[in-house]
Amino acid sequence: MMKFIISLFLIVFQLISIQAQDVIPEKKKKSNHFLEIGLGLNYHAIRDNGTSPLMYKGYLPAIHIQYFWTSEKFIGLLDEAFSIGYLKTRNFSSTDNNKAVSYNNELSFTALYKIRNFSKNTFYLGWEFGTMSNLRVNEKFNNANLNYDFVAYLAPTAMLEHNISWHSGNEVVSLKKRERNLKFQYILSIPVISSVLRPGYVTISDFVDINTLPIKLENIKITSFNHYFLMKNKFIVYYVLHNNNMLKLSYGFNYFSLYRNYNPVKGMYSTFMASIVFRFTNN
Amino acid sequence: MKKIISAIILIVFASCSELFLGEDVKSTPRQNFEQLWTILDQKYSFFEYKNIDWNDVHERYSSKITNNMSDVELFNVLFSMLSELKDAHVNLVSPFNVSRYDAVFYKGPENYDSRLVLDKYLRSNFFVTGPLKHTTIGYGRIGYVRYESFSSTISSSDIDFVINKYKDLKGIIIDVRSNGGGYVSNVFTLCKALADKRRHVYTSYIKTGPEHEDFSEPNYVYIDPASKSPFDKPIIILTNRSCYSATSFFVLAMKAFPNVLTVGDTTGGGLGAPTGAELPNGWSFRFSCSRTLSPEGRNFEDGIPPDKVRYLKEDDVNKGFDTIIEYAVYKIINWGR
Repeated sequence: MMKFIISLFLIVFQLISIQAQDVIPEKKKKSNHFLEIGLGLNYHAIRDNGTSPLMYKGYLPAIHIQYFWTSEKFIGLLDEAFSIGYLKTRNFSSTDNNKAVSYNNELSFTALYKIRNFSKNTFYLGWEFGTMSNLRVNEKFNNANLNYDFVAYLAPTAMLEHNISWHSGNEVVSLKKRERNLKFQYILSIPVISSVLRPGYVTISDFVDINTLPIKLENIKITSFNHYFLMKNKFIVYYVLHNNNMLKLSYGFNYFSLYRNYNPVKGMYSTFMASIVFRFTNN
Repeated sequence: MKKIISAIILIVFASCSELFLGEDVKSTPRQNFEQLWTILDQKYSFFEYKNIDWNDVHERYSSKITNNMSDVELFNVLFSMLSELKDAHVNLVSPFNVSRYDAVFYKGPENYDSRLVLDKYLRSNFFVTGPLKHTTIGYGRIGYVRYESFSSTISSSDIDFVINKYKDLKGIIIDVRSNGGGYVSNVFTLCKALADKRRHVYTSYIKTGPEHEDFSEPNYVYIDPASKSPFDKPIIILTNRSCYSATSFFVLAMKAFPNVLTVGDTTGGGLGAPTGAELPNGWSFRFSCSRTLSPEGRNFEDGIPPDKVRYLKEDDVNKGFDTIIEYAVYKIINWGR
């Protein structure tokens, strides 16, 4: 199964690369560079059977920084997103300690190659290499108070882009018509190969030997969607300002499930983000 | 308008999580009972060692569970069930009570009188270095160090100061009687400061699967000396039944060193590392999930016997003497004879 998945991925990856080579002209195109800074809210829910049958959920403030560059045929994105906050169960009360502190970090690089243009739509295909780290600290679990799922993954990625342009102002009274641009993007990534790090069977950090790391690196396992499934969706709207900077609104939805060590974990994020995108170059 | 949009977003998100992650299990007495029994069945580490028939326990207690029982009644049944494990590392924590198994501490006499130690040995002018109380006894020939809880963090500078202060004396007594445990990191800080060379001090095995004897490969635990000039004089460690968990780890580790003698009563044991989990009703619980063996392969979960058994005699106490400390002083003065 694993060999088949790896082979399939390599074939797809090769096809994308060949396609990209076909469409990129010999003379290298000039590229535009952008920096995005965004703030938002992340609704995070997780059920980690290593310690609890209950769902922990909460709203976490989130920050997102993205550096990306575009050319006629290529988009490269370097993403960093971080959120932190409390997760609570249905049993939470102010007098009880049914809450966990949750730290979540996503770092990824995505390469997208233009595959096809049709009407106002553009279809991109590429790959994403990323890490997703979720760390939860819950004092009520004694020596199992540190719980985590760290994942590094390689994922085929697809993006559909739709552009809308119109001119503002009344033609009769306005001397200067201004072009307005909206850009819609939908990005989907589903990892095929992942390396996953989770606590051991009894979740405990091996505290009886202080010489060893509390997080045991030998627990890292290479896996695929038969054991670890992650789906990343992102809907994005850009509004291009007159100075070529952009306003961006995005909604991301990630779902993941991991079955290993008899302690399955399932989680999801829904993230609303509002950002300002600064354009560095003006070609 | 803003409020309406916020409400819609919250409702959409909340229902979304149920859709993708499934609904939480119901919190009925039966569900809570089964969850507790099953997690222990799969993850508790001493069924074989303690010869406990856990299926039989299920049969006996399952019949006591009814769907209309109160939280207090449910807690009492679960408390009784957990007592079958005879393990002070097993606790159930509810908002109104905490289950426990204290019998391990009461298998013998207390063998420790804190007021006697304070009045006759520490006296009023003892040093307090971090969590360590210490002074000289035996006419200034021996250092006496009292460490009351491994929950109190000890720094390497604390123990270095103590060792340096008493390095020219005949030896030191480390009194950990009635020290109920705490952080194992403190065990390592203390042992490293006293170690003469790298030694294998114990071997731990952690549960890795649901069968009762599914354990990891052995994890050989070593202590490396922190100092280039370690304390090479006699060290006597005083123990009693209330030495539990991290204190038992300390005693077990120190027994690997040739200049160490343990005196007093058997410790309470507690060499299984406790981990934690939660029931559908939000009550948390902890239980042992590992086992620890001596370098020779002995399991001291029920307590580490001392090298020299000594009990506190009432006559001695009435005369102002701690029988166990006096014996330790005698042994150090006559060390090697």
